[in-house]
Amino acid sequence: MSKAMMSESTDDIGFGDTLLRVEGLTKYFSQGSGLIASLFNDEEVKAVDDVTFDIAKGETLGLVGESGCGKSTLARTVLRLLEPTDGAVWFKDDNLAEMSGEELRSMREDMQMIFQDPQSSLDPRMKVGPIVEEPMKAHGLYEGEREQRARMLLEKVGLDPQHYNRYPHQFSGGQRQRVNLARALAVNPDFIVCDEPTSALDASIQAQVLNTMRDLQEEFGLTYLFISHDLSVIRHISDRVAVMYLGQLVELSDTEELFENPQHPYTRALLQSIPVPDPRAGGQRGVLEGDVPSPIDPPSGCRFRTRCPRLIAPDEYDLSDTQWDQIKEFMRETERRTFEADGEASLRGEFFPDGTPSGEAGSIVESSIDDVLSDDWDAAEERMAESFAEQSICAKEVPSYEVEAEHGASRHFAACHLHRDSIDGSVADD
Amino acid sequence: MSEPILKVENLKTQFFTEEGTVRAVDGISFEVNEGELVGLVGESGAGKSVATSSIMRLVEDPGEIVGGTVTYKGKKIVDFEEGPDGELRRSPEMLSNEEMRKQIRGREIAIIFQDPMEALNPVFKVGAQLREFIEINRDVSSKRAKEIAVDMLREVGIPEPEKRYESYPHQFSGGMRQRVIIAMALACEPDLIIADEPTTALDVTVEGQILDLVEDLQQKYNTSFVWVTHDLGVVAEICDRVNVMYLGEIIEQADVDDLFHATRHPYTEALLNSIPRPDQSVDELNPIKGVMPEAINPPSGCRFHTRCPEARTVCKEVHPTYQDVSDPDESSHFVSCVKYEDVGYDDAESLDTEATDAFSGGLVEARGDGQ
Repeated sequence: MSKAMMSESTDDIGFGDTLLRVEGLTKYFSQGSGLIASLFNDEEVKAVDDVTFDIAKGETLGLVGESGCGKSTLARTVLRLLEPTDGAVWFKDDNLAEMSGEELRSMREDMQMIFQDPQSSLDPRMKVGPIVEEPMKAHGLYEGEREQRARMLLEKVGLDPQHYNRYPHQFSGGQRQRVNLARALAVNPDFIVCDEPTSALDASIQAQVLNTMRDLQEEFGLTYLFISHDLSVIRHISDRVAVMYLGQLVELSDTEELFENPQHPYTRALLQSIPVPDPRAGGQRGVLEGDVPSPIDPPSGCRFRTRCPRLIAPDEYDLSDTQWDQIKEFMRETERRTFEADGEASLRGEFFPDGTPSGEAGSIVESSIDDVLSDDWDAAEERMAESFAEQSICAKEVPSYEVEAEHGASRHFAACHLHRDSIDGSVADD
Repeated sequence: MSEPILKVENLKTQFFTEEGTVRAVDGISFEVNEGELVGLVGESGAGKSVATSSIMRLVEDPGEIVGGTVTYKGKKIVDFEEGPDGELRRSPEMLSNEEMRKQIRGREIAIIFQDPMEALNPVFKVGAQLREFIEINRDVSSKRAKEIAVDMLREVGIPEPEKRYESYPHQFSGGMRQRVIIAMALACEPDLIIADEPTTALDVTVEGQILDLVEDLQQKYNTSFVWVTHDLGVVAEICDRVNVMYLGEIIEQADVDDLFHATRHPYTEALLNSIPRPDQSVDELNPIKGVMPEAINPPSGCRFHTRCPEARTVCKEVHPTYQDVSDPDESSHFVSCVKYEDVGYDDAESLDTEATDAFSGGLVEARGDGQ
C-alpha cells in the first residue's frame, strides 16, 4: 500500500497551528414549528450560547458535559449540520458559518463526523466496502482505486480487509464503530468530530477503539473534537479539555491542568462525582444539589450560580462565611421546597442554629422565615432571590477569566467570578 | 455470621432458540447477607440480567430456569430435584408463580431497572402508581397508602411531594424518575432490593446523588442489595462484596478491596487494566483482546482462554473449578482459574491466541462468521 495514497494533506497549516477557530458560536432553537408557533411563541431554547474556542492541528480537544448541556448541538453547529444563530467558525481561512451550500459541500471533504450509535449510522443493506467508498464517490475522489483504498482503510482501523463484502449486522458493536472510522477517513479529512464514539461500547472494547483512534491520529495527522460525558475517557484521549454547562463553556485548559487543578466549581463537582474504580480512593462525593435549569430561560450572569456551592455573597451585606452559607442553604432549600415547615424552633435549629444575622440581611431572613411558617413559600422564595441571589456578582456579570496554569503551557480559561481578584480567588480551598 | 438472606446455588438458566441452546447463566452460586450490598459485574452478554431475572423468576420464553436452588429466607424460589428417571424437575417446595407474586415480589424482594421510564406507566400519575402498589402489597387502605406514598417520595428527596404526587412520569427528570422507582421499591419495606444497572442511564452528578441516597437508605433500613453493573467505579464505591461474571459464569468473588487490590482471575485483572482512569493519566490502555464469544457456543475448558493473556494449553482442556483460594484467616475469595489448581498449568505450554500473540490488528473474528 503506497504511503502517498493515505497521507499528505495539501494544506499549509503546520502541526500546532490553529486549524479551527470558533468565535461566539450561538444556536437557539425555536419551540414548535409552523406559522402560528413562530408568530406567538418567541421562547427559544438557548442550546449553545456564545461559545469560543480553537483547536490546533493534530490536537484532540475533549468536550465534556452532562446530557442536555449542548455538546452535540455545538458539534453539529461547528460542522454546520445545523445553521448557527450567530457567531463564526473559521476552518483554515474560511468562515463556515457564511458559506454557500456548494462551497460547504466541498469543504466537508476535510471534515468528518462519527456518531455514538454505530448501528444506526450504517446502512444495513449496504456492504461495508461500499459504505467506506461512499464518501469518496460523493467527493469524486480516488477514481479507480476506491476499492483498494477501502480495503486499506479497513485494515488500518483493525478489521480484516476481506470483510469488504460483509454486511454491518455481521459485526459486533466495536467493529461497527471501526467501520465508521474507516468511512470517516475515506476522504482523507483533517478534522473529525467524534460524538460519544465509545459510549455504547463495553469497557474492554472501548479501550480497543480508543487506542485505534489514537494510532490513526498519529498516522494520518488528524485533529479531533472529542465529545463525551465520560470524564475518564476524556482524560485519556484529550490534549485539552473544555467543560460545558447549560450551553456555555465554563472551563478550558490542558487536560492535566483541568483534572489536577480545576478552577471552576462545576468542574470540581463533576470530577468529584465520578466513581473511581478503586475502593481505597476514599474521598467523599461532592454531590451537586438540584437539577440543571431550563435552557429556555437560563440564569443571568454565571449559569451555574443556582447550584454553585461557592456562590459569592452580595457586597452590600456584611456577612461572615458561615452566615452566608446558612442563608444560601435556607434560600435554596426554600426554593426547592425540600423541607417541611413544622414549627419555628425546628426550622431555626436546622438552618440558623446560632441565630440569624443582624442588620438588613437578618431582617430579610426573618421575614422569609415568617413567610415559610405561614405557608407562603412563594413570597419567601421571591424575597430571598431578589435580595440575595440576584444581588450577587454571579448574577450580575457574565464571568470570563484567565487563570495561571500550573500544568502545561496552554491558557487556562475559567468562567467563575471567584477569580475576579485572582489572588484570593482560588477555588481549591474548599 | 447468621444465615444469608439470599442463597443462590448452581443456578442455571437456558434459552432455547432456533440456533441452539444458549446457556446464559451456567451454574452460578453466591450469597447475600443481611444488610450487605453485593455487586454483580460483567460486560454485556455476561448474563448479569438473566441471573437477576432468574432470581425474581421473571425469565420469559424461550428462556427457562433449568437447574439449581435459590433460597430466600428458607423459602425455595427455585428448587430442582432429580426425578425417577434421573431428569431434573421442579421440587414440590419450589414456590408457585402465584406464591411468587403474592409473597415475594415487591414485598420481600423489589427490583429496580435501568430505565425508569419503562417501569412507570406514562398515562398514570406517579402518585397513583405508587399508591396502588402499596395498597396491593401492604393491605392498607387507599388513604393510608397515599400517606405512605407521599412519605416515601419525601424520603427519596423529591421536593414538594404532595404536589409531585399528582405529576405524570414525563414531568420528572431522569434522576427524579429513578428516585420515584427507588421510592416504589422501598415502599413495601423489602429486605432485598435487586438493582439492575440503576444509574447507567444517568449523568455522573445525578448518579452521585442516587448512590448517596442508596447508601443513606441502606443504613436506615438495613436493606440488602444485589447491584448489577458494568461500571467498576460504581462497584468500588458502594459494594461490600463483588461477583465478576463472564459468559454465564461467576469467575471471581471477593470482598471489594481484595477484588481490586488482590485480584486473582486474569479476566478481572484485564478488565481493571482496560478502563481509563478519572484519577490518573494513563499513556496506553491495555484492552482485552478479541470479543466476547457467543454464549451459544462457549469456548471449551476455561471460557476466557480465547482472550486470556496467560492462557496455556491446559486452559483449553480443563474446565476450572470454582473454589475458595483465600488463606485461612482471610475472608473468602473464590476464583475459577486453573492457575490455582493442580492440573498441570505450570508445565503446560503457552497457548497461541489473539491475546498471547503480539498485537495482530485485533478483531478479525467477526460475528456470525460468514466466510
